[in-house]
Amino acid sequence: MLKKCAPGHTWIEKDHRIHVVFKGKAYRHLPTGKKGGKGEVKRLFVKQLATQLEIEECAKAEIPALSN
Amino acid sequence: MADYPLVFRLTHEIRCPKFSARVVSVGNALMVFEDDEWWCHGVNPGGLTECGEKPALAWAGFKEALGGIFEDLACDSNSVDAFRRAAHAFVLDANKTQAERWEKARQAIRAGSGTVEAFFDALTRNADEVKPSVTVELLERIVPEDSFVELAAAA
Repeated sequence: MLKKCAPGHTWIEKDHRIHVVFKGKAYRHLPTGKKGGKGEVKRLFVKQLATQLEIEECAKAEIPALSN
Repeated sequence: MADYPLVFRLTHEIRCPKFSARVVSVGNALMVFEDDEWWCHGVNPGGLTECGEKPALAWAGFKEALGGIFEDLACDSNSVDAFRRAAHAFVLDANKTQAERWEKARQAIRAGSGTVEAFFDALTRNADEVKPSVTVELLERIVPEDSFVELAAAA
């Protein structure tokens, strides 16, 4: 989703979270997915990321579950 | 279930290899019940959200996450001043979508419409305009340890 909606974004993995920066906007608390054991990230973390980076419409097109 | 607009002032003490500092952040967040959990969505700063089974747990997660982010920013900074700028930029980086929801939620609280969950009803009502801000106080500059290992040689 980020490749299409936020081309050129910066992805920085930290110990407990991932920082994503795009066009001067930053989302700094994307879970690594390690905590749950299945590499899954809850929907609303991704939705907050999409609204914060102002790529919501594109993200909804890529991930329809974000539309709810 | 209603959306709940929060304003906060939080203090975090962070430590990284170069310095330790006290960070006081003032901002706002929106607490909502979505996907069968409570979520504390950042507004200022907008770059985080956290969740929990109860509002108190979502709020605790939000506070912890914010401190962790400040620590990440501090450890990536070459100086306290650089960290101060990074922390300031982070807190002032608003989430516009959540800001609109926050404002609507504040108007609903002002209007007294609907019932208010016990956790939020226990909070002090703040009718002031709260301007997001950050102050960073240097606590300790950490210098590399003055120890070494060298091979002794005759003069």
